[in-house]
Amino acid sequence: MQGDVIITGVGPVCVCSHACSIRRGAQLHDTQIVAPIRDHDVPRWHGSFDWMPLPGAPVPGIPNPAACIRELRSEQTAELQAGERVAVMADAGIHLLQQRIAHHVSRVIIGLRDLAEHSAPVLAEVELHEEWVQSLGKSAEDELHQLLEGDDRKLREWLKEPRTRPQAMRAVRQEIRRRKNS
Amino acid sequence: MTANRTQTLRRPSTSTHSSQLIFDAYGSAPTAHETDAIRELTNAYADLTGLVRVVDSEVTSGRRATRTLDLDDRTGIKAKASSEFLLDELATDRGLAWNEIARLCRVTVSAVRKWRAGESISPGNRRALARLAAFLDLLEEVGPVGEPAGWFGMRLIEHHTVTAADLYCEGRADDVLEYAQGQLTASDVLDRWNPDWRSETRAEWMIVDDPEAGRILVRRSEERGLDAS
Repeated sequence: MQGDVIITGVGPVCVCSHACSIRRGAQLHDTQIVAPIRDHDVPRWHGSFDWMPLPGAPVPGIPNPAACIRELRSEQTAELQAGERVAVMADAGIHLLQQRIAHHVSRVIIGLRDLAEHSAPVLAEVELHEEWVQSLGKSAEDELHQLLEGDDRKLREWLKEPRTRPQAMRAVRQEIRRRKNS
Repeated sequence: MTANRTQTLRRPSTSTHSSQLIFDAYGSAPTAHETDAIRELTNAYADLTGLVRVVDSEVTSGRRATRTLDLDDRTGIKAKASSEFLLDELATDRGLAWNEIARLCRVTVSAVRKWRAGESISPGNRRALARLAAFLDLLEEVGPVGEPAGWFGMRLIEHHTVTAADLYCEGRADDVLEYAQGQLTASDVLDRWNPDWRSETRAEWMIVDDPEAGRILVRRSEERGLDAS
């Protein structure tokens, strides 16, 4: 997931791939975009646009962890899966990371609220995916995809709009509850 | 009364003196008695206007105070439930995302995860969950909002990215309820929150569903008004 802090065999990294780019359908892509984590004290947010500060991230041996956006690279998904995920990023952090990456590669500033609106459906689906797998097992992963795509993609379309997103969340959670009770 | 009383009002003369206007309306000079009566009526209306303002202000204060009491009372009732029950109500019945529940209760997502796993919750945080649940109940009752959780996440004003949920997080729950009930306009609510909202929350980007690129952000076109086509 974008923003995850993972201790890999080649050092600590922060996953920078967008949630939509991490998978191809239900399968993970072979590689992901990551930024290495360095010890770098970012004195203030404004001006240090090549860095994404990660205050509080429990990275061993690094008192001031920060993701170095200048050193974005690809990493094998298998390497990431073999590593230890030590922190996940809150939605607000993900939006900050996206803003800084966009600025780094284009000098365009996208507002955090705009990014939040745009990301909301994806992050909601990621949350539902996690809940589904935790409750029903990894073997049931494809069934969530079928549920979201079913009935002319009704639930996936509902996830896109703030007005209908709760209906989609409710439908999936009620389905989880039904399957657990059956 | 004179025979010319049925004449329609002509455009007032350049003089704005009230007796001149009355003369234009009636086609003849009003009597001293009529002038006194009209002035008395004018003063009475001015007094009534002042009285209505005072009453309106006091009614508004009373309404907001009782609304706060109602929300507090409902919160107290909800807080008797377990955190698991409250979380289930917010997530499964209301359809809120876990990260949204965390934001609205001003806690971390990991705190919500721990509560979901059965770990203990502080009284203050339990009350925050209860208050959110009570607020959504109240929102559903006071206004034509349809799906409360959905309405909560929608922009208050088109082209500005502030939502009712944002204002709730800023401690403006009372104003949000007033808006839902139609007592305040969206502009009123936003003015009360941040007088600079028009410039600070303007949406610079718009979300577009592109058949090839998928869901993307596109910069708004200023010269075309607000929406790029």
